[in-house]
Parts: sequence; C-alpha cells; structure tokens
Amino acid sequence: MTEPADRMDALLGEYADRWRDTQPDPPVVAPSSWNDSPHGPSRWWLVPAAAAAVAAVIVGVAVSGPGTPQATAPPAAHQSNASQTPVATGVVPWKPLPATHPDIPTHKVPPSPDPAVAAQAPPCKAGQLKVTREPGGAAAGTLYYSILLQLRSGAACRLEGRPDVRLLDHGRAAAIPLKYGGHWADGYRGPVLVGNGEAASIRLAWTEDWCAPPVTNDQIVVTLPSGRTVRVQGLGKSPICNDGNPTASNHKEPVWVYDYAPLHVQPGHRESAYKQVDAQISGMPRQVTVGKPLDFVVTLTARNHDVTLDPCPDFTVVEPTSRDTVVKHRFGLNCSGVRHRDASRRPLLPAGVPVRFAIQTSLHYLPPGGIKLSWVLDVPDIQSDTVVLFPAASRPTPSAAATCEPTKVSLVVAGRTLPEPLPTQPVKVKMHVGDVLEFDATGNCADQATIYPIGRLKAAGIELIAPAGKPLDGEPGTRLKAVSPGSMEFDITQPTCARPAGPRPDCHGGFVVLRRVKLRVLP
Amino acid sequence: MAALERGVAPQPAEEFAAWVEPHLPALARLAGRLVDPADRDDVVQEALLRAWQKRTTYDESRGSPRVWLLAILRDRARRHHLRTPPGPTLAREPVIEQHPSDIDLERALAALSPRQRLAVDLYYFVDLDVATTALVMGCAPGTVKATLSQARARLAELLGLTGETADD
Repeated sequence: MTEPADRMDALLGEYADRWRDTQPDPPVVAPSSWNDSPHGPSRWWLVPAAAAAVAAVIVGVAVSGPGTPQATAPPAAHQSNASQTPVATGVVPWKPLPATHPDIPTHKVPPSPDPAVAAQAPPCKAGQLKVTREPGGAAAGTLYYSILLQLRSGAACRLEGRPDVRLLDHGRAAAIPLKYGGHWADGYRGPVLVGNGEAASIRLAWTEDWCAPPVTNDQIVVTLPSGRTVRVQGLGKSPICNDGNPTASNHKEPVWVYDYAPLHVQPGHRESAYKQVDAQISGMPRQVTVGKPLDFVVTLTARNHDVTLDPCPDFTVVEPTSRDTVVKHRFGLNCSGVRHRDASRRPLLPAGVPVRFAIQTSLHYLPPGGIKLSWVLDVPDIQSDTVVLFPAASRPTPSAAATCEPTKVSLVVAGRTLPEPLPTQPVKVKMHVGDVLEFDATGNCADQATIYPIGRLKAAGIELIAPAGKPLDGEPGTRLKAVSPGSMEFDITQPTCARPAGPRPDCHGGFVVLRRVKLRVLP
Repeated sequence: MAALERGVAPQPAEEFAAWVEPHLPALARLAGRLVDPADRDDVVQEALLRAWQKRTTYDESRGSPRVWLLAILRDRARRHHLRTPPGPTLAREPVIEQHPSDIDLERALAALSPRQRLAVDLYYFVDLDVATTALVMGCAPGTVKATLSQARARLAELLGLTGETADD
C-alpha cells in the first residue's frame, strides 16, 4: 500500500522531470562592458544559448550560395588549411570507432579537513582556545557572523556538536529567539579539529526580517566544553524588516546557530585521473558546408600527471539539429593512434604535453542565430569544450561596427518631446494613465536599439504597441501606453558592436545602455 | 575551472561569467518556478548583476557558489514580485499536453504556503538535495524534510488522494 504523501513524492518527481524537459535553454551570460566604472558594470547581458559565446571559440560562417551556409574562421582563430582536413604532424588521425562505454576507474577524495582525523584528537579545554568574533557579512538578505575558535596553547583538540551560545544586551538576555540549524558546511559531518593552522567556527545567521521593535545584542556568551564561558562582541542592532520593505507584523526573526564547523571545507567526492585533463577545440576549417563532413581538432592536455588511456575513454559530439533538439554522436577515442606510451606500451597523455586528436562530424542545422557544437570526453570528471558557429550574415562585422554613427534617441509623451538628459542621468518621465510614450531613434545603426526589458514593462501595466506590420521586440517606433498607475524603470540598449567607439574584435553578446528611463504613471 | 569553484568569486568579468555558467540551469529553473516565464530571464539577469556587484562578499565557507547564487535569485524574485502590481493569480499552464492531471497539480502547488512551495520548487523542480535546499532556504535540513512532508500531505489533500489507497 502506498501512503498518499509517498504517492505525491512520485507524482511530483515525475511532473518535475517533465517540467524540466520542457524548459527553454537557460540563458547564457556574456560579459559586455563590465568594467568597474564608478557606476558599476552596465549590465550582465543574457543571450539565447544557441547564439551565445562564453569561453568558446567563435567561428563566423559565410553563405556561399542559396541555402548553403559555409564557415569561415576569424583571423585570430586556429585554422587548418582549406582542405577541410586538419590532420598534420602529431595529430592522431580520425577513426569512427564504436563507443565501448568503459568503466573509468575513480578514487575517493576524502573531505578536507577529514573528520576522521579530528575524531582522534582529545576534546578541547577552554584554556586551550582563543575565541574571537569575525566581522560579519551579508548576502541575499541575510546577515552572517562567525565566531572563530583557534588553538592558543597545547596540542590539537576537537570540538563537536551544537555550541552553547547566549545573546546578551547590557548583561541581560536579549529578547532574540535562537534556532539551531545543524550542519553548516555542505558535505562535512563530525568533529572539528582545532590545531595549528586549523580553526573551528560557530556560524550565526540572521535574515533581514526583524519586524518587531528593534533590539540590540552587545555580547555573545559562548560556553566552552569545560563549562567555562567566553564573551565576544555581539551582533549589534537587529536587522531591517522584510529586506527593507516594512510590514505591519511583529515578526521576530530568530538568529540561526549552526554546529561547530571547520573554517574551510572541501566535501569528499570521487574523481578520476581525468580531473586534471583539459580539452580544447581548435582547427575549425575555413569552409564548411552544412550536411558535409566537418573536421576539427581536439587537444587533450594532462596538466600535472601522466594519464594512461587504459581503458580508452569514449567521447561525444553534441550537435543541435533544431532549435529544441540535439543529437549526440558517441565514439571511442582513437587511443591506439597516440604515439606516447608508458612502460607497458599503453597509450598515454604525458603531463604537460598536448595530444591532438582529429575529429570528424557534420552539421545539419545552422540557423541565423548560430549553434553550439560541443565535444565531451565521457569520463567521470567531464571535460569538454564548445564552439559556436554563426552564419556571418547575422553577425555584425568589425568594419560595420566602426562605421556606426552615434544613435540619437527621442522620447515623446503626449506630443511633447522630452529634453535630452545629461549623459549619465536617467530620463525621468511622468505620464498619466492613457498617455502614450513614443520611442524612436536615428542613426545608421538605430535599428539595433531596443527597449529592455519588455516583460517587466508589461507586468508593470504598460501596453507595448509594435510599429505597424512588425513584431513586438522593442525596436524604434514602439509605443508605450500607460494602462495602470505605478513606477518602473527600463533601458534603451544597443549592442556594443554598434557603439561608435571604433573597431571591435567581435560584437556578440554585449549591450550598452543608450538611455535609462524612470517612468512614473499617475492616475 | 575547478580552482574557480572554491574560494572567492573571481574578479575579472570573463572569469566571473565562466564561474557562474555551470549554475545557470539551476538558476533558470528556480526563476522559472518563482516568476512568470516571460520574466524568467529578466530575474536571472538581475540576480547575476547583483551577484557581480556583490562578488567580493562571496565566501565559500557560507556555502557553495550555487547556494549563494540561488539565494540571491530567490531574493531578486521576491523583489520582482514586490515591484509587480498585484493582478489575477493564475496557475502555470501545464507543460505537457498529455498529462491533464498536471493542471490540477499546478493549481494545488499554487495553494501551498510560500515556504512549502519554495521547498518543493528547490527540491523537486530545481533538483537540489535536501542539504543544499536547506542552505538556500536558510534553515536546517530537518526543517526542509518536515516542510516537504507537510507540502506533500497538503497536496495529497488538495488533489483528493487522502481517501485513496493504491498498491504499487
């Protein structure tokens, strides 16, 4: 018999699997103008995965004839000759060997520090320890604090379990609830060693949800295993309410106290010899025709130690075949073609020596947005590299970028053109429900300017009207009609490759804010 | 890349981008659960921008990069809802046409308490383990287990499964 809640576990698990399968690809991050200007980075720009290029080799693709995209490598990329065959001296030739799905040996890497070592040490005595409170920090609306316990004298010792902590305000117990959170460090369980160079910590966390009258904690009393107490600096004034959005509640957010934990933890895991092997794609040919063989080179480099290719691993080429589908071609690596051998004549990746393998596949799909072609070594510590192939027609060229004039943005509300703000100032716009804000731009690259983000504007009660006969993508000519009162902020952006700042080596992914608009809609 | 997984968040933009990239699927999934599909990428972008601005505050001893990024995303999603004027609340469209019961399940999920829903979203839909879910939620693993159990019981009740028995 199955309990309803257990059945729910299965139902949820199955539905979540289906839900994940239908989710669009996650956006891919491409750093644009993220230099640390006084105003911070202008933005992280997310682009559809298929068109993105993060840590990837970018290959432009020219169209050689109707319906026949062909690839061209950029000048800086590794190139083979025009013969499509990158095989050269030292390259292991391509062989379409069947996958063998070998069992690659792995070894266990214990957590660091190892709780088994700590278990052998005697319990700490109060006199051995120096206790201090570290400066706090904050992330995601939660304040974090840590109390550090270091060895003052004597031999290494251990602390374990739930620490005894009390919060005081002027010598009296502070009216702050405490909750015990169990293990702090993901992947670490057990006693904690305090020795030379190894400290234990007590972690405290306080979420910014204190909505009751403010309280103060000026001292923390820690009772050590021997019963002796130590006082350290308190957490200070209670944090803000609801992350800065006060509510009428009288909620007292507790301080979470976690078990003794090492200061730094690396969880235990399993890894193979391939952990320290890098894979890199190169040698994309100058001309590639969709549907015909595509040859390139993958270089495997063992960074620190020799890696014996026994058993010989498989690899997989992942090739998109439509916007939503990929095909995976799995082969055996051509280990027998590797000339480096160990003492037993087994093929080898020698430490620090790049070993190049010729790979052959074919492209069956190359839309204007580009595709991502991945090569994956099928080992427990997956090693992979990716190239992004773009049709040249969809990728602005550096020469085109250099010829862009400055784009002029115009904003008209109810027939009145808004004055240009100072370059670093946002445009402040007030309009009434029913008013229309018209956005337009001029310049030879003006068609690349867009309103961003459209989704948030819609959610905020702005109806967006596309130029006649065009899809709604925020381009010049778009009109914004205020439907309900409220405040919101949006940007008018342009690809950085279109910015009139001289030639750029490439122009994918990055955007610049031409105008920031603070919009207030009155009833 | 392995070296970048530990310690502090990388400072150069390119390295930071590579550092967050492995966590994008999880971030996108959580955003896909917490906000409307049309706003998913906006919220991921806001979270990444916030993470970039706060990268010097990342401390591996407080949790893995994934935990840190998911916690920031959760915060951004909450702010996103605060900015968004209240409107009609609709359950998400079911994702698979062949499973009409998904409609009922999404409606039942919408009826859970925010904390129960977050636990379900993180554990089932983002596919985190209990320990990581606990770190993102800022509570103990035992609390996550209890919350999930309560959520499953509530869902079973909403879906009318409490009166049924079924043999596997």
